[in-house]
This record gives sequence, C-alpha cells and structure tokens, in this order.
Amino acid sequence: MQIEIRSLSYIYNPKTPFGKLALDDISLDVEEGDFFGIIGHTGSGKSTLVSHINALTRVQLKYNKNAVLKVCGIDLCAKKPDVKTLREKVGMVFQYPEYQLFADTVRQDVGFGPKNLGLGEAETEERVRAAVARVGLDYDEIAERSPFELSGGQKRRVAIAGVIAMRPEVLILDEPTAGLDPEGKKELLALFKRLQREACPTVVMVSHNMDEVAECCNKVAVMNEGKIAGVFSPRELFTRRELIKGMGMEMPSVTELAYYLAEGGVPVDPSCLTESELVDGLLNIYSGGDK
Amino acid sequence: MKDVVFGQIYPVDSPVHRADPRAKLLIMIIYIVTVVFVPSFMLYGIIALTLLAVILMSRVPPLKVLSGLKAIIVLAIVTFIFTVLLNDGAGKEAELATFGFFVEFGPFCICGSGLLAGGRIMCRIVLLILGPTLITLTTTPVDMADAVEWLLAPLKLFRVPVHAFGMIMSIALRMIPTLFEEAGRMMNAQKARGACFDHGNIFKRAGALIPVLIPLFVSAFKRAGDLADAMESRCYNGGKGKTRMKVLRFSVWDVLAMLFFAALLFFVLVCTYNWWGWGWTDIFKLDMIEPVVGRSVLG
Amino acid sequence: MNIISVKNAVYVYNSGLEDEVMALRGVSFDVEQGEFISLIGSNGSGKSTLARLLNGLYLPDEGEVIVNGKSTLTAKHKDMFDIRRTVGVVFQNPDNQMVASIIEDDVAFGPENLGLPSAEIKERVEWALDRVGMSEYRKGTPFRLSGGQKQRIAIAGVLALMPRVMILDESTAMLDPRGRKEVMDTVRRIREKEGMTVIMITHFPDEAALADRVIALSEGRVVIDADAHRALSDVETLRQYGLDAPLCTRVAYELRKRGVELDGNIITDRELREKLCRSK
Repeated sequence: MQIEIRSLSYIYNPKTPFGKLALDDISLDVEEGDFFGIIGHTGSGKSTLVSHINALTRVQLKYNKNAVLKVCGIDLCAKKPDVKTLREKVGMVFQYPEYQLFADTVRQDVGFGPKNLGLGEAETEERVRAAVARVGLDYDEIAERSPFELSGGQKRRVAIAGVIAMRPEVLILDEPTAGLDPEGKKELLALFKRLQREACPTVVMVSHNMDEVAECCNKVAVMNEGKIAGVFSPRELFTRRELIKGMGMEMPSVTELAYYLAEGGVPVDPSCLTESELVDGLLNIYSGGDK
Repeated sequence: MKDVVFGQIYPVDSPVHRADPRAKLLIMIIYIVTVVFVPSFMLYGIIALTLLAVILMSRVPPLKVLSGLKAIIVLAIVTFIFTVLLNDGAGKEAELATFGFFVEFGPFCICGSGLLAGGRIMCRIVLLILGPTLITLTTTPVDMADAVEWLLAPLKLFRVPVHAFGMIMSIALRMIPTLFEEAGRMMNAQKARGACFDHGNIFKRAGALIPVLIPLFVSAFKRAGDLADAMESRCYNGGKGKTRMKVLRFSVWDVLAMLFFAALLFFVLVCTYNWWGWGWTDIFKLDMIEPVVGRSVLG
Repeated sequence: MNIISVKNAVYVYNSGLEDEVMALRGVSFDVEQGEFISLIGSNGSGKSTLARLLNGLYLPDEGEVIVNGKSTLTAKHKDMFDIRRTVGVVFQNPDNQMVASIIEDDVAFGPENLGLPSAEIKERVEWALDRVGMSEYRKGTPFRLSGGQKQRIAIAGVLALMPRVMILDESTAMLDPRGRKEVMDTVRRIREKEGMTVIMITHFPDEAALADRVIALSEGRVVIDADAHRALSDVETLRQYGLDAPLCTRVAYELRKRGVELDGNIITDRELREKLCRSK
C-alpha cells in the first residue's frame, strides 16, 4: 500500500466562528500501480487532501485521535514524521507549475530538487538529463537556456521535469492540464501515462475535468464538501450518474453523449468511455441495418 | 491575510462605523496631537473618559479595543522602567523635600518626579494606541485610503500626483492578499522539491528564499501588466476627468464631532500654556507636583 | 454598418529586435452589430493579440482596425475613449483584472473613468451586477468568491461601460466546469437581453459551437471564417490547423466515414440525436 488514509479530518480556522470542516472523515487506499484520480469542485477539499500526502499540510493531531495517514511507509500521524524522506519519495506537480521556475538555466532549475536531496554533481547532472528527456524535451538544445524564454508548454514540461528528477515513488498532479489548449492537454496526458509506465508507478491526479480523469485513471475518488462520495472505476461512473450530477459535476463527455443519445431512443450502450467505443457501438446499430 | 480589506474591522453598525472616514482621520490626527500635549493626569483622565464614551458609542467591546495594547505592552513597560530609573527629578534634596523619598542604586534612582514622568508616558502611550485602534476597528482600510487621498488633495497644487497615490493604495490593498497567497503556494512548491526555509543562519535562510522571491516577482510583473491592460480597456487614463460613485459627504454629526475634538485640543493647549493667565485652568494641572528647587540646592 | 472592421492587420512583437515575432500576418474580417462570433485557434495563433487590437490596446503595425467608424491608429484621446467604451474586453485571469477590493467599487471603475455623475454610476453598477446575477455580493470582497463568480464580476465591470461589443479573451480557460458554465450562461443571457455583439475567444470547441459564426486563426492568419455549422463540422480542416471539432461532430464524422448516412452539419448533441433517430 503506497498511501493509506483512515478517518482523516481537517478543520480550517479552528476555534473561530469561521471554522470549516475541509476534510470530513476521509478514508482512501492508493496501491502501487494505481493511476488514482480525485475529482471534485474547487473547494471540495481535494487540494487539502493531497497536501496532507506531501506533509505540506500537517495532520491536526488534536482533531485526529484515531486517524491513520501512511505514505510510502512513513507514518504522518507521528509526532515528528520524517518529512525529508517523505518529500524524496513523493513528488508533487502543482497547479500552473511553470510559475515556480526561478533559476538562470533549465539545467539549474531541474537540478534544484536533486541538489536539495544532497546528491553530487555527477548524479544530479545525470538525473537532470534523464528527466528533461522524459518530458519530451531536447536536453542539449534547452539545458543552458533561461526557463523564462521558453513557450508556455515547454515551461510546464520543464517544471514537471524538476519534480521527476527527484525520482519519486509517488507522483501527485494537481490540475496538471489547467489552462492548456486541447492539443497541449492531450500531449501532457500522454506524457503522464508514459511516466507512470516507465518511471513512477503510482500517480495521484487531482482534477475537475472528468474527461481526463476517465481517460487516465483506473480509480476515481469523487469528492464533495470534504467527503469522499465514492471510489469508482471509470466504467462504473455511468452507473452513478445521478450521484455525480446531483453534486453538480460533469460526467465524462463521451458517457454523457451516449446517455443523451440513449435517452432519445438511440439504442446505444451508455457505459462507453472512449470516442471509438461510442462510434463502434453506433456502427453496430446503424451499418448493420443499412447493409 | 485575506482580511486586509476589512482589516481588523469589528462588524457592527454604529454611529462611529457610519461616520465619514475623512472625519475619523481628521479626528484621529487632532486626538494624537492632543494626547501629545496633555500635561497632567487629570487631563489624561478627561481624554480617557472621552475615548471611553466613543468606544461605548461604537458598540465595540472595550476589551477588544484594549487588546490593541497587546503588541505594545512590553514596550510601554520598558519605557516606564527606564524613564523612572534614569530620571533624578530636581535632585536628591529637592525630591526628598517634596516627596519624602529618594532611592539610589548605582547610576539609577527612583524618585517622585521620575515616577510621575513614567506614569505620564505610560498614559500617553496607552492613549496613543487606543485611539487609532478604535479607528481601525470601525473603518475599513479601503475607506481609510479614500480619506488619506482626500486629505492629501491640496498637494495637487504642488503637482504631487495625489490621484496616483490613491490608485496605488487601492491596488496594493487589492493585490496584497493575492500575492501573499501566491507566496504561500510558491513556498509549498519549492518545499515539495526538498527546499528548506527554516534551517541555518539568517544568510542561509535569506538565500533559501530566492526560489520563492524570483517567481513571485515574475508573477507580480505579469499581474501588473495584465492589470494595466484591464484598466486601460476600462477607459482609465490616469484619473483625468474621473468622477466617483461614492461621493463622501460630511454629516452634521461628523462636523460636530470634529468641532468637539478641536475644542478639546484647544482646551488642553490653554491649560498647558495658560496664554491668557486664567487661574482656573490650573485646576486641571493640580497633580503636576513640581519639587521646589530650594535654596539649599542652589545655594 | 459594421461595428468593427479589421483590414489586413499586421502586428509584430519586439519589432526590429532579434526576438521579433510576427503575431498577426494580415488579418481581415468585419463584425456586424449583433453577431455572436467565436474566435478559435491553438496557443500562439494570435487570438489574444487580436483581441487587444480590437479595442486599441495595441495598434496594428500595418493595416487598420476600424471601430464604429474610427480607426484605432489615428484615434486621439477622445476617440480612443469612444473605442474603448464601444468594445469591452473580459480577460483570462479573474484575479488580474480587478482594481478595487470592494465589488461594487470595482464595477464602478469604468463609469468613473468616463466621468459620469455619481447617481448614474450607481444606476449602472446596480444594473450590471443584476445582469450577471451578483447583486447580493456588491458590498463584499472578491477574495472569497469562486473563479466563476469573479469572472462574472469582471463581466459586470465591462457591462457598466455599456459597450456595444463584448470580447471574452479566453475568459473561461482558468475556470472549473461549474465556473465555465456560470460564465457561459451569463454571456448567453446578456446577449439575449441586451442584443450585444459578442466575440468569444476560446479553445473549447463546445463553447465555440454556441456562436453563430466561427473565425479560426492559425499562425497569425484567418484560416476559417464561416457560419458555425459549416466551420465546426469540417473536422479535417480543423485538424489541419491543430483544432478540435465538438465531440458529437467527431462522432458523426467517424460514422459517415464508415458508411452511415447522416445529412447536414452536426455541431450539437441534439442535432446528432435527431439525425440518428431519423436515419434509424
């Protein structure tokens, strides 16, 4: 088990009248090999939850007497958890990660993490080279350039390289495709899928975009108002349409289109997830009849 | 930090909350000058009673106003102690003659005049803090910024860009929480990459902040550019010909309040300097016991 | 009469320098009063630059942009004022376009700059906030609002200028689905009630499908300019420029390619459903 969470709660502004339960008795398991999606509205608690995983938000021990939070074998409910090792094992790509670039050259920026881990020059250099290549950029061309003069998409890749250069066991992605155009989104999602296969077997992706979660993840936790409304496989989602719509969230758009067609009398299976599944389903009905 | 807009405001409705922020600003200035000129405990008492009346009128719990002293209490006590210890009044004999005691130890001493001086300084500090605290508890920074801009308006005659100052204040109030939040996000992002902000000596710590400060500046400049575009698109051209939605108007009560505080200042000044030699003003200085510098000292 | 007319506009960043970039390479089109246009194009195609040309924030290096009969190139002070109150722009980042910390003060910013009397500003602010459904928040601060609500305030800030054209420069790009829907519903309502001309820059194909006319930019040139049905149903041409058609259009395209007969251009789910039901 890479991440184990049992009855974790978190209160914003405790002891004031503005106190708000941001996490309400959360339990979750993320296993090695999972591409785990967490979906919910802005303010549903998903960001608070993942910042616990990286100890950027500490467990409020006072309100969490019986809680369990274990990440890569490190007990975060301990009085003094081993945060340094934890951050080595858990990499986190924040929303709009390109805004955190700071160094003079791409090489230095990507090397910031490995340096903080105390690695030597040679090891750092090797990791930087590998990480830049992994995100699909040409190291020799880009290494000595300033990160600020790159294009938006390149900047984001450099920032992601900065995280994977630390070779984390668990990679957390917070709205990784926000603000990109459809083409850029597609490329980045493909990159994450490849990363998971080749480099970092456990990925947790926080998103408000049901399509990308349904496309990449094998499990999807639906969050609403600080609670987990359920953990489903993408294919199960269509059976929970009422629940998801009821929380004001979108269904995967292919599922939703199929449902809409079925509702109007087109006899197609509404559980399809990808465009080609939907097309095949429709072809079975229509070309069969035509020919 | 999100509260920079409402600042410390205590959200109730009261005549003090509703008062024109310009009146409050002017009264605050008059009040500060008054407190600085007060010579005696009796007059401090009168001012304290006035302040108490305003606090009651504002419906802010008095304890809430007193908590404004928390930040300053140590400084006030230290000031009191030093004033007492370093003040030898009119000298040992005169002090002994007037107050009947004079304690010496090393370079320090405790004497009647010293204690009185210390007490006055304490009163002054406490009153200087409480007044403005009440203002911040009843006025939003946004309103205060408007008032400051109004107060500075005469400087336009000397080509001081008062409007620009006002705009800067307004935008600063608007952007500070956003940038503060962003700084937090950047720190978290770099922490996640193993950065450490709480180790080592001060230089190391300052150095550790570079990966936060550089992106913060980059982003602040981008925001500034965006904001300039947005302002220009909404017909901003440096405030020429600009009107205001909220036209501030002094009410009768604002004027009366200002007159009252101006009268209080005048009264304190008359008591202090006794320009016209009125005897009755001395009543308010009764507690100003001055040791008589006797012949024994001089002679 | 055309409210906006762009004639062969060229715009170059860092002109004459080493890192000179030609963002627009001769763009021409006209906008009529009351049209609903979506402007699409991949990142770096010049869409946002074009938005800034349309209200005189940037001036074209070649060609011209004419708003309400006045060229932005030659507009002096007062004319530029007229251009900016004719064409209002809502930008991408909701946090970077609010000037004041109290919502009603922010909405009042535009009319205050116009030098209107206080009573009229109040009226406009009330009206604008009502149009975007944010009246109850008028005394509050923007900080506690969601992205969608902030963007509605930004729209109100533009509405208060009473423009004839509203440009939305990727105003939904940073929002979550709920925020996007909020903003799109608001825009639609305003269009219906006020008959305003809307130019919406977006890279979401389903948003583009709401418009009547679609203009696509690629590498600084207009590559498609047609009514929305024709433009968005041409999957192949869109792909050629790195653009996507709406999901239902792509499905219809695949079906047709494999021999299913579906007539007409399909760009909404409803159209797809109707056509499929009919051909059963």
